[in-house]
Amino acid sequence: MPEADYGRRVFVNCPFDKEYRHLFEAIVFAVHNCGYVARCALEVDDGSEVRIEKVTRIIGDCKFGLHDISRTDPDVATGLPRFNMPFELGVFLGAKRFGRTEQKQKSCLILDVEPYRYQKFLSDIAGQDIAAHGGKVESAISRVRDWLSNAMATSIRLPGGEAIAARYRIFRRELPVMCESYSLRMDELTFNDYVAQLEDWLTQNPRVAV
Amino acid sequence: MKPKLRTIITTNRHTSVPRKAMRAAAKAVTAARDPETDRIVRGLASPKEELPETARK
Repeated sequence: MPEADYGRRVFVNCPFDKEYRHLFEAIVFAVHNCGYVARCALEVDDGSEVRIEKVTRIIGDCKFGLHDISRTDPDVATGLPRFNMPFELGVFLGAKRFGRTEQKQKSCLILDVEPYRYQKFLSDIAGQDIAAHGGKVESAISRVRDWLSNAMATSIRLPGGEAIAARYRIFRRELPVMCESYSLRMDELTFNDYVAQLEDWLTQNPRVAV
Repeated sequence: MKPKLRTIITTNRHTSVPRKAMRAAAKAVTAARDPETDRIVRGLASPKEELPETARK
């Protein structure tokens, strides 16, 4: 799996459903465009591995954690809300609190739709900075970019959120063409396929330092 | 010190399509792109701002 070191890995904890997919893919793009590597539970398709083992292993591998807790609506099929995102945020914060030296360096970005809404359903994290994306791709990209830029050495120049969003729009326009060239529909792309294609596109299209 | 750009990390993931085909696809779309779009991708130009409603009249 990804060879990037601990300090360059970002655990992405967010909904994986169709309604959230546009934000998820934009967030993954922003992470990679900033020179980091996105990791999530979708990267391993091993039925023999218990899900919690997989999630905790990936969390342990990543210095950074991006947690979107915006999905509070009940599931259409069951009528019940899903608690996986807040749960995995808790595991991440627990690793930071009780883990060894490397784990204590963990940094996280918590995203919601609105800035203070979380206080009504997850008041235990009151006092932490929560960033709002308003359900918009451009906002989500900017929030990710700003957060990761704070963790970087000042000698490294990171393009602004708007510039990354502009690159993302072009990537999205070109993605169906790339998929078509190897006879795959966009909805057939696995997470690993998406990331690999994204990495190859970014490598092919480096930003020019000016 | 001159600021530098962050290098993009390429990972070795298990994909459903050969990685070679993905690299070729990325190369092909890059080659087929118009110069203006290419400049935006490389950070040498900004996307054209849409004019506000009042300015379009």
